[in-house]
Amino acid sequence: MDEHPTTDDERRLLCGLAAGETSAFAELYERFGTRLFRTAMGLVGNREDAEDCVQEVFAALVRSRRRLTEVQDLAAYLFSSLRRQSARRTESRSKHPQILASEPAAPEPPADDPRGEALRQALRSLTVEQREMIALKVEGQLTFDEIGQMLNISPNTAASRYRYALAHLVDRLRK
Amino acid sequence: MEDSELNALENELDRLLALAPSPSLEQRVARRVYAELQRQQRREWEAYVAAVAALLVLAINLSWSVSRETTHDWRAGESAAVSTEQIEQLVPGIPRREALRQALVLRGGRAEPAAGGMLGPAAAGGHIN
Repeated sequence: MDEHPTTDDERRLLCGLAAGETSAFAELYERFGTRLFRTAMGLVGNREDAEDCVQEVFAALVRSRRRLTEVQDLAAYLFSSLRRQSARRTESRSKHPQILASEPAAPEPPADDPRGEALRQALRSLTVEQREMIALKVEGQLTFDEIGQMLNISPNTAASRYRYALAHLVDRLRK
Repeated sequence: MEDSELNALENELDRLLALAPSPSLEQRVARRVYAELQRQQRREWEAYVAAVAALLVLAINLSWSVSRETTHDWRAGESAAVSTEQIEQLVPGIPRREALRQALVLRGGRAEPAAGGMLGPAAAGGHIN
């Protein structure tokens, strides 16, 4: 599996993070904050948890900052961390369902958007793995190389899983 | 299933899922990062202080042990010389070097309790009258 080569710019950013420079963390948020949030929304299904997950990713980054200079692919590292945080959050929610009532797996579309509503319903019908694939590719804008590296599968397998998830959505929308 | 259909769906998903985080998230993340950095620095400082304290305790302990084991007999040289002279008087003709050696042996023996001293003269083979 090809690894994403770390650019000089990323190396500089990683060194800043490892040194604990707050400006480096601000720059990281600037680059990845929105993508991380959207992906977290896809994984946990509600804004509050998604934002908490993003915060936790950054807190975990500070705790492990001394090892950051060894990171080969910054995006894959961040989104792997987000997956772990999301899994913890989902597990915690399943143990304490009273904390949050049923949450949408996708944002509520406007009332006069039947297509959006249909798509939202279709997204809900996906398995966890399929929804994760959509979250990483569409919301996270990761490449198949990066997704493959994160999930420890080949980029081709990642691509075919993604296509399979899209095909499932199309099927649901046709019904 | 055609690629064009999948591409169209991808574009729809892009639009539907293009959410923005709340404006306060950036500040919350920044505060969290700052707090975590502070906590980390405090832990490192505490670990450093604990290590220095442990080293100090160890050094004090070692120093105390060594001082307990050290005989502060500043007249040691004088006593050996006196004993040497006494031996020379008792055994005329004994070489100076041998007298000094005997004096040192005597001094060394004095540090350890003699078997007779511990167990009494009977154990040492003596008779009690």
